[in-house]
Amino acid sequence: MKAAVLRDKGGPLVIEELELDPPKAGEVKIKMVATGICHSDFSVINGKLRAPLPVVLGHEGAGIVTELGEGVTDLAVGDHVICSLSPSCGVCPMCKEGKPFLCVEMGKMLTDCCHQDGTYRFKDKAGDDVKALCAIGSFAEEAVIPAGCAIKVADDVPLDKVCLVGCGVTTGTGAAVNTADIKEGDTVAVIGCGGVGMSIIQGARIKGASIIICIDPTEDSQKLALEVGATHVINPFTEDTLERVKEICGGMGVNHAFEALGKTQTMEQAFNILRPGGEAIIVGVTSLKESLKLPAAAFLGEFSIVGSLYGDSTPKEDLPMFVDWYTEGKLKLDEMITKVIKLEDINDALDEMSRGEGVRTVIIHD
Amino acid sequence: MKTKAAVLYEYGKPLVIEELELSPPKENEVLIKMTASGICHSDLSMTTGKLPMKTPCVPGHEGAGVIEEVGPGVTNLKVGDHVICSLSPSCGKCVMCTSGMMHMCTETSSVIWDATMVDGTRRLKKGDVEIGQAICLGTFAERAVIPAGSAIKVAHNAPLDTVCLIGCGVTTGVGAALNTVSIKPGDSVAIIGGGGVGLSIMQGAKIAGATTIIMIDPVEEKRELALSLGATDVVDPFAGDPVKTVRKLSKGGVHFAFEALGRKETIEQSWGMVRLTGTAVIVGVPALDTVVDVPVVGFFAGRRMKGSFYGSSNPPVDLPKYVDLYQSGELKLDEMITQRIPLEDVNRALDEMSRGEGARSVIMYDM
Repeated sequence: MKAAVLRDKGGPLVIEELELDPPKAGEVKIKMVATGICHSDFSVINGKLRAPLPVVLGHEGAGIVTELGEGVTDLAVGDHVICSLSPSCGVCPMCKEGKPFLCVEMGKMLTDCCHQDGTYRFKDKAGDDVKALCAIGSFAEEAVIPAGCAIKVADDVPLDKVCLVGCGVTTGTGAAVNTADIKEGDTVAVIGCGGVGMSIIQGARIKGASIIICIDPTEDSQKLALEVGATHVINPFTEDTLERVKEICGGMGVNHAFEALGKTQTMEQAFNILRPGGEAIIVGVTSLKESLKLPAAAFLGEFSIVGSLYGDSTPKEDLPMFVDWYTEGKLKLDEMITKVIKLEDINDALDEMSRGEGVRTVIIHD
Repeated sequence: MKTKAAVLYEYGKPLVIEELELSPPKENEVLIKMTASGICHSDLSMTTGKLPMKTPCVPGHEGAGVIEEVGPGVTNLKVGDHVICSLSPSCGKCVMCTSGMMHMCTETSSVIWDATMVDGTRRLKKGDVEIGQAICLGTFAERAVIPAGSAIKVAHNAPLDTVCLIGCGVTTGVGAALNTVSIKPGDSVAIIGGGGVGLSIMQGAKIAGATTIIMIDPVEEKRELALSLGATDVVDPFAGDPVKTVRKLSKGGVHFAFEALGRKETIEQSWGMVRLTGTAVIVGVPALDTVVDVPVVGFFAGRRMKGSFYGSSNPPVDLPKYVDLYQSGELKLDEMITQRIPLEDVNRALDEMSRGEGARSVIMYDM
């Protein structure tokens, strides 16, 4: 079984034949049909996000269940599933509180790239363990994942499109519809319009925002942003962002500013383009050691700033809901997929991502 | 008309108690005979220049009194009405009022640093020198002309010399707990700063049903007062790391941490005190050039940092509601008043406040 493995920080990924252990209790084996390439995959390669090596990257996958581990009762062989980042274990304190996007089990899967019992399912030719990003590792033709991460969808849903719901779409659309409190007629700005940013724009549109500003220097992104719901675009490299925002919003900042780049500078900017009572929503992921410098006087204007994780979603409910929205035509996914490739071409796609080209590349496994 | 007032001529210098000339109310203004005025920490910040209001001006903004005269166009108030002074005239027409944020009415915020009335002019004079009023109020004076919208009518049986605190500190604090955030029964809260605002936050949290209520203040008498008014735990921030202590007391962080001092260090501490998906609520008024460092790691725990101004209150609706809470015994105000003084003692009370002593001093105009 083929997989793209990160062996050395900086890459490139190596396409290797790996062995896959059968699913243990509470796990399922999946034949991956398609996977999106997310910016976080790239951040692991360049070391901005730390992960133990060697590791199979990829976490925005969708596929078909081929084998059930012991005790899995709510899935069957042949089920079509999207991979969720959170196993929603149901027993940890955050799951019990109704916040499975902070499932304690997920933390381990993200940082240690292991399964819930601390072990791994991929093995290389030498018989050594290969880890799996988020306990998923969707840059592989097959994978064993926690059953809680396999979210069933209808058989007629195109997996090569809805795979995006596994990470970017849920992260972005969820940030707009769950984390933020967008009311009809509100004003919204989105800084950084890749897959996540586009999904935020769409969530804002679905919630009835009247002004949705895409802040992104890339012409292609601006064009697509307008297509999926943005009402205005700002090029932050050639325009004064704050001045333009005020011009667009009748002299004030916005009600909701989203940061989807993962840079401290733009996180601070999201806070600084708010109107009184506004909220900045931090969606982008940066090194955990960073700090923001915020002007405290803004709190007198009741500014607020909040982090959004995996769209504050309840995967078992929200992922199928986003798929429904896609089927109904409310959520545009086809338009966001700028390229479809084979697994072998993954390094070229990552190079393009490093240059800021395209919105979403999808790998279709044979 | 003459009025006695405490005037700020120069930052850092004592207020000057003197007779001023007061002109009558213009359109949509009322003349109030003050019964009492609390001394708020923001008054101290005005006298030191941390909040740089244009001088000379009369500080004071936590007042209550009786209407003596109404200007043209005032229809909802009459002579003899008992009123609390509100920080916001809630004009109902500006962009903040029409978006449901009447506590941030731009009529006062646009003139706040000039310390003028809404129309940019002044009502007080000493000889030829025009004297401003803090937040269109200036309650450190026996009489004041204020915007009619800033005069919130209350029942005649509400003791003005106590409910005056609702004009600023109590509304700022209770409202932060009841309006700015949504505290659920059983939630945990921490409050940094046990002055008038902090004690009000604490009481608001208790009314909302919080069961773990941690007060952090270095002054022992304030910690004792907090315990008597509902705190479940008190922490001396100088007796160890207050962030660690709060996280331990609340088993991993509180649902809500309120900062009621406006200091960089404590705002940053509040961020460390909240749990996964918890909220740090910044209530204290910082120096305007304060920049706080907020570690991003908190965002990946789904935390929120949120400012609260004037308790996110809708003054005409919420101030009378807080009076009701006081009269029903749920909100304790008398206990927060540590001394009642004549206007002549205002400088002494400000000095005491600068040393962190006492919760609230109230100026009595008929003393």
